[in-house]
Amino acid sequence: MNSFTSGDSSVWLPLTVIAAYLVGLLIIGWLGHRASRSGEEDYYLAGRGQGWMISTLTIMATFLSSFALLGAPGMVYREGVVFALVSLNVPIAGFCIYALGRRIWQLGRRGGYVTQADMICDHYGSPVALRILVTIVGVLFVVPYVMMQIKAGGDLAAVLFPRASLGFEIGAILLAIVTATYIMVGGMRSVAWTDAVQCVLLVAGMMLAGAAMITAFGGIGGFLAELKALPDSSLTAPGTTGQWNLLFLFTVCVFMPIGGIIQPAQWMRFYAASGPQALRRGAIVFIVVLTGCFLFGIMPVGLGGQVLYPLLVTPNGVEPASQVGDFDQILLVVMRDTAPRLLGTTMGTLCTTLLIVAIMAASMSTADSNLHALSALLTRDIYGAFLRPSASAVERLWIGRAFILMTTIAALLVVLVGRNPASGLSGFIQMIVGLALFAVAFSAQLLPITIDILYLRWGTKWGATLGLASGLLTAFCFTSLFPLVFPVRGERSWLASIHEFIASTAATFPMHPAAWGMIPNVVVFVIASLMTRKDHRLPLESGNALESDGRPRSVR
Amino acid sequence: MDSDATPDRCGSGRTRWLSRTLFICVLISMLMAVGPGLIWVNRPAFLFGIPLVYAWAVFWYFILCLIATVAYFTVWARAEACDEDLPR
Repeated sequence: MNSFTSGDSSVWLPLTVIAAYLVGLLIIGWLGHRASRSGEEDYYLAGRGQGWMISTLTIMATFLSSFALLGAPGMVYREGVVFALVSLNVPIAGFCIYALGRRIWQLGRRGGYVTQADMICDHYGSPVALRILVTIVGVLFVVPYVMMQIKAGGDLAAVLFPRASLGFEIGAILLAIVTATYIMVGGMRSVAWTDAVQCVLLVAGMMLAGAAMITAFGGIGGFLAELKALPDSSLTAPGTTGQWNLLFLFTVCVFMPIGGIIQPAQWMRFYAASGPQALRRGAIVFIVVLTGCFLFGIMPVGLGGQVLYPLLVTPNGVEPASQVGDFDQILLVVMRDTAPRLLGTTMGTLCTTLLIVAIMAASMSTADSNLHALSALLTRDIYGAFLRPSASAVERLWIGRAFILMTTIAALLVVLVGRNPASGLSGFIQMIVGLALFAVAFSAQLLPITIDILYLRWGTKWGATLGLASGLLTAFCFTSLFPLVFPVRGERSWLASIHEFIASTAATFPMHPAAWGMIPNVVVFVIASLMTRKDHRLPLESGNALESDGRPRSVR
Repeated sequence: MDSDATPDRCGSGRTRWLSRTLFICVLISMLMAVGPGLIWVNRPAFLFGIPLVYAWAVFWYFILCLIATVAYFTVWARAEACDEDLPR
């Protein structure tokens, strides 16, 4: 803590580096704006010409958020070794980039689609119901994800400036302002360019964090020797709190990467790629590099954190050590306390500052991508489709920017309100990983529709609509937000019975909410499609059909 | 693309077999790594000084990387050759 509050270099160095980083981002955003051409396709998809390097980096940066540099170390610190297994969700996401992304790219190119809903609604011939549902999925995914990133900005400032009474609030507001500004200015090209820079920073940050922790123990030998002192619960599943049982672990590892890849922002990145080669290269880099960063960069931080700052077991459960304050802050606390001691004040502070910049990069690269995708969804799929179909492209662009601003403000307000322990939302936004798991519960519900459009082409619009609706509803009931939105009033009410049923079911089969939603989603999709086969539009009629190997049936 | 090579390169025969085999390998890897296979190693033991569960995760990471590398140079590369015929 003292490293940032005493000594000259420990004060001006972080401020200078962070200021330079933020100004640099705004300049890149402005350059992206200068390079852009007029029109929605350029603003939302960078003219569909992103090369493999930019595509790879922006897909990685969008996937990696504050989850990677704050949430994951925090969860390892809380739960122990079991979280190493969660890292194996990353290769699944990599496989999905190619298996799903390539076909999404093909259909997007052929149909001229811009948003996720464009393709889904066109395929099923459902311009209203499905469009609204897909937009709801987008909102339910994007808002918590943006909240995660804003919270990370607050956490950063809280550790960086511990004596500032409003450090968290200032950090959260600053991150929200800068991110929203460069997206509104530049569109997809700015987002992708800044993502590329941010991705390099955050990958370097992940490895730097792991290396710093191992160095703090005097090398790999010393680090591994210290791990032997950890309690058994930290070395096995289901982890310290018992949350990561086998069923939960498996369903998270399957559905979290899928939800993270078929979410609106990634879907648009597949459209924006210049070709399948970009996605093929992106997938292999994603699998090898990102998973390695989690296993060899982030894991040592959380495990070393448990050694340096032993967890407190209280009647309320497991709590972080008093020096840490919040599980999600473990990486920052470790760096703050050890880097200056190991490297000297100036180099240590510089090292810590670079890590802070990496965390900001992780947060902002995900927030910008998601806000940008949400603006496309709301502008094209709601405003342009229903409210003002006659709106010009320029008008829609400005409305999109207004949506970005409004969503950022809404997410910021929720984070600031939830910061208050007395608020009902404080439990909901307590941990970054919790917010991520909440968000993917909804985006994963698009999986049956996605598989059907890209591979099977069997379902009907009623199957898709009813399946998705039932999946979203069920997944929501199993999330931690359900009791907050629908609190029990009276012990004998029907709502109390529903709460009781959900609680007992979740206790018997402790699966991730995405898995719970997937059951009715698939069942209803199949039954409704079977019952409404007459309504089914043949793929050829929709004009966007692919052959079984992904090639178009006819070439324009 | 010559006509003789098209069926195999674009999703039939050996490519399709390989594609399905790799898919099954990924499925088995996940079942072993984070599914029922985890029960075999879920104890507070150490392997070469590394927590056993951690070593288990690293082992399956390398297996998944191997599968991805094989897919990259075979199935995906052939599919990409077919994509070259698509309208841009």
